[in-house]
Amino acid sequence: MITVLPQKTLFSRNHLELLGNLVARNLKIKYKGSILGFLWSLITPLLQMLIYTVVFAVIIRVKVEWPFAVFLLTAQLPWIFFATSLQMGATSIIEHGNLVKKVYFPRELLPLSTIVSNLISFGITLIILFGFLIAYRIPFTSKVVLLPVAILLLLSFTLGLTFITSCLAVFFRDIFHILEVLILLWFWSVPVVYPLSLLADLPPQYAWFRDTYALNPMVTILELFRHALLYDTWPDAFSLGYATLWSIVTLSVGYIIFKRAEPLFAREI
Amino acid sequence: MDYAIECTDVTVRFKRYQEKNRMLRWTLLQMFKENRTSETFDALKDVTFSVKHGEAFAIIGQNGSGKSTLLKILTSIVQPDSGTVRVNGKVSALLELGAGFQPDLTGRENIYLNGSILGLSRAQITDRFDAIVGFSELEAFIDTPIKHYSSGMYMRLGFSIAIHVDPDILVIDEVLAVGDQNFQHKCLDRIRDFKRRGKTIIFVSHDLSTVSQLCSRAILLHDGRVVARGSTSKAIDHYHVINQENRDQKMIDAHVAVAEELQDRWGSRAIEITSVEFLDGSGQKTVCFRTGDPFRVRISYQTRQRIEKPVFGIAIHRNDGTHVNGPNTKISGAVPEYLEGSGAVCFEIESLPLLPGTYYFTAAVYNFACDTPYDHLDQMFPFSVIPGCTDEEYGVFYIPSTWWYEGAHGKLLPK
Repeated sequence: MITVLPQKTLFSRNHLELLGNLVARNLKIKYKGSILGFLWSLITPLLQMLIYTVVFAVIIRVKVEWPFAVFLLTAQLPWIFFATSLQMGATSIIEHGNLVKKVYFPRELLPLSTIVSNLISFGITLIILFGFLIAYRIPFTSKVVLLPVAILLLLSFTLGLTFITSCLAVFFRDIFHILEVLILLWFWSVPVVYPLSLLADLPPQYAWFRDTYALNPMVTILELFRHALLYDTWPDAFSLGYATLWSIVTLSVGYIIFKRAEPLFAREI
Repeated sequence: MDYAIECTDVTVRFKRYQEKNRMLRWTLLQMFKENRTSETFDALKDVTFSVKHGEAFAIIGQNGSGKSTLLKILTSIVQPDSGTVRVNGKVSALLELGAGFQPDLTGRENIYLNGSILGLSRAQITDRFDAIVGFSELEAFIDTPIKHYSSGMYMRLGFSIAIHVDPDILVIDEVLAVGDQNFQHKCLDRIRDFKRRGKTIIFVSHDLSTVSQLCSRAILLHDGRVVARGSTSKAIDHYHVINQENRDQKMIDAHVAVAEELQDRWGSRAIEITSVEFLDGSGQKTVCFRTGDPFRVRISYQTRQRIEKPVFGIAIHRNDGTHVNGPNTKISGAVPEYLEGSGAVCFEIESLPLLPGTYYFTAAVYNFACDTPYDHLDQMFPFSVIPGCTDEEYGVFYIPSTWWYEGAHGKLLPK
């Protein structure tokens, strides 16, 4: 199971296979014993979408230039990936405490397998989104090339944060409560259920709020999904660069912290 | 390099937590405290040893002596605080069978998952799949979710996967205590086979007879330090010395009290058994005998009043529950007219016929009709038997016997 030195590289063939097996296990366990099986990963976001549409489009009457359901889904689906990954990822090391204490393998495979299985669920939900886009006859434009970029940025930002939360959870169980609050706060600080344009017409005394708001990298990343599928405009180079920088830095810092903490896992769990 | 494992001055220091406190508040408070005297203790202290390729090496010691920590070091689950560990070859550890099993998945799915956790590629697992299933004897249940398995089946599958990793160095931690005797024998055979093929084995066990059968060299850990090294028999002897010191202490205060709590002791106590001592041929106290050794037990008693015709009895049980024998003084015609005050009754087997293993000794005293117990200490006194006058290992007893042929050719081969 180990060679002379614990292998530092993630990308040996056996480890990729182990990652595949862990992902397969996550997905199998998720739907085992439920009658509708993987349909649930479509039903849940659809139901959420329905609720938000009723509340925000019908009751509060938020105005957007696109059908509200489509507008919502383009940011809501990546958001669900982000939020569930953070929460599930945080438990990924401690819920496998037994394994971590008994067998050596690169520990990053645990958070990574959570993220990859969420990414697969996310991919499946994108099918709904494309269904809606086609149903509402919203054309695909050249901007669709931004979609893989948006997914890549979202993925590396999420992965970086998950590396940090999963090893913090080993040392502080508070992290779950903190995450819960943080994710709630974060959800309302990104333009999922309302358009970013609403902030443009804020009165001048709230300018500081708009500027602070824009610092949040998730704003740019989620907007990138809408650029790709709805807006038919290119994002400005500055915010694209800003989000890219955040993603790269988060991923590298997260991985470094994770590898530093890794030798302590077996002792602390 | 001809060493499979080289450990040099390995020290592992653990924090001693008052309680496992994982709250942020607590940690923050700690940071602001003036003198953070976090109490530490050394789970391992300057442990140095090396194991040659192809050697079967034992690590023995009492509970809490650091054996498990040392195994975690060897399998790189835990990093030492100081010192170096060189491991030369692929290690597979039987630390906890079935760690990482998923109850909801089938046996088949778990073989693939567990196999890849243990470092096998998909192709390798597919190659060995039939052998794994065959060894575990779970052919009929391999597509059943393992939450429906019995704990024995669970262990069998775990052992079978681990042994089929086919490592260069096999680390075994007390796992043979599971499963029925048949399967235990099968596992031991497999481990011996492994040894024959020149692989290295690190064996950790309380089962001293297996240790001495399997391993040629050993270290003895006590409080995280190596206190004896060299031949297995030397380490085992030393282990008994340490054990005996502890046991003597415990015998006095614990045995009697604990026995009552455990309800392993009953009777009116008109006569009380005050101690039970095992003695070797030269009259020295010991708890470890070789097959064929003289075996003597001294049972001390104390009466409350004059007792007419008391009957002393003993019983020996093997650790799997087999009732080996149960003689008493009435059957043997050794009942005194009466006993009063204190004294001792001795029981001797000239040549112990028991085969290697762990046994429990029962001492009891009853009235002459043998229907009312005065004092009965049930299976309270463990002793072990290690290989002696015979290499036999199957069954309970060594029964001297002879083989001959009618019509064989050539000379008999040497042993």
